[in-house]
Amino acid sequence: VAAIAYSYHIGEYHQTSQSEFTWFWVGMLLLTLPLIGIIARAGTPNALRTALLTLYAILTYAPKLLRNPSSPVYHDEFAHWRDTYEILHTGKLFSPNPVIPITARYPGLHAATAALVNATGLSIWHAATVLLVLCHVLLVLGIASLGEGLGMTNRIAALAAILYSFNSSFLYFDTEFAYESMAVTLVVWTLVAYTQAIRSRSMRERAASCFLTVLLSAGVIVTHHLSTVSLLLIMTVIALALSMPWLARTGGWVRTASTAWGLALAAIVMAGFWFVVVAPSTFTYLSPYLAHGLSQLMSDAQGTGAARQLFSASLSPWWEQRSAYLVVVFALGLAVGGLLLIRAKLRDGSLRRGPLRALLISFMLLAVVYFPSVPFILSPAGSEGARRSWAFTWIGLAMLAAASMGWLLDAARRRTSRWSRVSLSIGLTAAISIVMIGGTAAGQNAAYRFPGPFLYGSDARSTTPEELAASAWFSAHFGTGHNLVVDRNSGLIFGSYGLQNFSAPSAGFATWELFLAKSGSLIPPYLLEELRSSNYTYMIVDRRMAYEIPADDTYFTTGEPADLVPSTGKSVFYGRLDKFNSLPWMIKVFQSDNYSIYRLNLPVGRTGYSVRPPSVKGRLVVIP
Amino acid sequence: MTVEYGYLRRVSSLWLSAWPIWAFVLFSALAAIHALPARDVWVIAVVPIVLLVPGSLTIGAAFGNYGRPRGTPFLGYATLLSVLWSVFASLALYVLHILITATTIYFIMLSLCAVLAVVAQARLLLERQVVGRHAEGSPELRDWETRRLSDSRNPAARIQWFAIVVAIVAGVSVLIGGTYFYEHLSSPPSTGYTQLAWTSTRENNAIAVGPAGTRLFFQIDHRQRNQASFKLSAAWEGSSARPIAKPLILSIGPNKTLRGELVVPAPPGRCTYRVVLTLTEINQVDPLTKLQPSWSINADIHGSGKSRSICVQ
Repeated sequence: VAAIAYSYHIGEYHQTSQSEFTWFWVGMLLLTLPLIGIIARAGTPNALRTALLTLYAILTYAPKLLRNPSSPVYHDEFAHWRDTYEILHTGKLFSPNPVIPITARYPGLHAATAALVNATGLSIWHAATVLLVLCHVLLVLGIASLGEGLGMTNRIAALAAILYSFNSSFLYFDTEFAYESMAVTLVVWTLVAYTQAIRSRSMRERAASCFLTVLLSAGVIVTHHLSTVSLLLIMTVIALALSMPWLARTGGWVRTASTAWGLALAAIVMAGFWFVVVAPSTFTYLSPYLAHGLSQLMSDAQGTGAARQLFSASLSPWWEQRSAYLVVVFALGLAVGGLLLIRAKLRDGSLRRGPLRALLISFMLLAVVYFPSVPFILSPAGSEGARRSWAFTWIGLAMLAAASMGWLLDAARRRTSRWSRVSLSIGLTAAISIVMIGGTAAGQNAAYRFPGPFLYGSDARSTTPEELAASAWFSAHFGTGHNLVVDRNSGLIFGSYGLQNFSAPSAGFATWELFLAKSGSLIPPYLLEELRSSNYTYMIVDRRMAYEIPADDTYFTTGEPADLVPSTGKSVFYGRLDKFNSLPWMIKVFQSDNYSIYRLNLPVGRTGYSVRPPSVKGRLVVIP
Repeated sequence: MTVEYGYLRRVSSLWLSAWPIWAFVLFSALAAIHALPARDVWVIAVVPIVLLVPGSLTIGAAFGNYGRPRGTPFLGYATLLSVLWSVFASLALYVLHILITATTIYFIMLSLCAVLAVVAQARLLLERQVVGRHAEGSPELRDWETRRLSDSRNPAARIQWFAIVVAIVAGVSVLIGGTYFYEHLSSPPSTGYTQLAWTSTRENNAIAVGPAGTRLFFQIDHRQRNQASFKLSAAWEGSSARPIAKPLILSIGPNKTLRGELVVPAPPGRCTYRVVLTLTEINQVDPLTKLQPSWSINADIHGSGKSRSICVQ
């Protein structure tokens, strides 16, 4: 942990540096590999293995905890901080959220954090950290419990949990203060209860497991949209598998199938109610990602699209990038091995028709879905969805790969020659290290993972004391709840800590036109009318947008015109921001080094000032 | 058998015979804990109660004492169900148009725990009677009873719990130690800034100025590590800027705040004019603009009475 802390310490002084990555991985590998080694040993007692798995889960939270121990840093964390703050200060759920509007309709994480704040008196951030550490630990233990529920030994189930932890979201994305971090854990435990309900023989145990499944799936539904969709798909696939004659039809199959279908339908009905009544904007929020992702992928396949260049602007070193490609290769190898083991079990008759066979085949299918999702990473719109799906597909992949990994470890143990035993063990250790490094590199970029100097437009490195002070001044001076015109980065702080409001710009509300207009040229009247009628009263301008290209290639919103970020490297806003100082309907009330705050006095027709200045004199007085 | 062992066995037996009631008592004690001094210390006790009791009672009420999940699954379900009950309680309060506060959440959770504790305790007592009467005839119940007894007496089960507790304590200690270490490493000094702003909200709109003129109040915040020299000037904005007042040269020390005022005389007629206050740092170059760093704010003023747009021309 000290090595990880030291790597962050190096990061604070450099935009990027080889040594920060080296120290980070030295720390991580020293922290995890010995634990993995003992967990994977056949001779380790089950009690010790479970305890070590718990320790592994806690320790793998260290990278995120050290990244921002005392306040939000990631983009989504600001949105969820605001949601929680609103619950604590208004006493109500579903308060609008300007940073990510959809999060307000899924209050699971915020309500739980607010309840913990109320019960303990901790700050929002500390209560959230307690909750997230628990979710992270329970995610690992949940995968192991699911593995045991699928008939795996304690050792293979623990290996599945370890392998799951190599997915790209595990160390940073699913540990951030965001709804998915809690929902993924709930999905896994819903599946644990679901498989228990399906496999239990006693009526009472089944009824109780069904009750838990309903409660936990309801928890997923009120917490996160994409996790809900994933859970429903997995439950439906399992229910379908349990109805297949070849897979599950033995004595009592009707009971197990009806249990599975009943629970899946209950979850579908609850989710349908939530999507239609409480969060109807979910489909409009999610559909562009899938639709654009698919169309871009088709264009790329036909050679007409502009595919993403992987790691094009990455700050991570070459060996991390190469490892990310190798993850797919290793995953494929282990998955094929797992499939062969299942085939062998089917052939020798040890995996008979019944619920267990159906469950294993369902999770096998879930694992296989990972591979077709990989090409989506090349599509600008689909990459985000693909990456997020891996947190779910890796549940299946971990189960499949754990079987292969167990077989390989046993093969190494059975070797009579010491050299071949040692070399196979070294090979496996190297493979695990590469997968851990590559899995992490395939997730969040270096600016998210490591602290560092200010990096314009990078989300995780763009908050400065100056911005915080500007936002605090604004709230203290004018109060909260104003409608602001802001760029993406300023919106994070003004929309969260500042408690101000804004709408994401779009084609119908193109606020970038304000910034793009040349001095003396006309600002579209429809836009000014829109600003007036929607009561937009202030505008925040970060002058760096005229000089720099944002690291995340976004000035305002993900759907903004592509030509706002030209490949020339010169900002399209260069020389176009000074006009705000002389527009008659804008009054500049604040300026710091980089931020200017303007009062918007609309409509334009009612404003104006004389261009012929008077000659009367006053005086300036400063009180020290 | 030692006295201590006998005492522990009695405590264990007392706990096992009525654990739902004891868990409920623990949860209801939260209100008393909040009233205690040194609340920060008690957080360590509050967090496990809040995050384990409602979920444990749910498992007890749903499964009874026999066939309930044990070990890791018990821990996982108990924690997540506790968290989820607080979410569902918030939703229920919202639907009932009751504000979500520490008190309302606590009482709704307490009511829920009471119901769950009664159900769990009732199932515990009923199952014990049933087992007592029918265990001989029911292999399933006999199997459960054997499992229960073996769980409570089995040293391996106790070792597992002990090992998990040790792992949690060790892991959390490493996280806390790591965070402490990281926060005590030297960090690069945070970038400073200077800001110039009006101190009232009057400047939001054109200000009517009487014959005596008006005073516009402003503030300069210099959040830098070093002292710096500035020129402060004020001018009428227009086709050619015209100074209002004699510029001031200021030397501002690190982390200092200065307040000031711009005395503006009554402008001629009833036209609207724009006043610009500019602060320029002397002998410095802005890395972005390659010019002297400067800050400015402005305000519109007009003579008494309604401003006339004809003055714009």
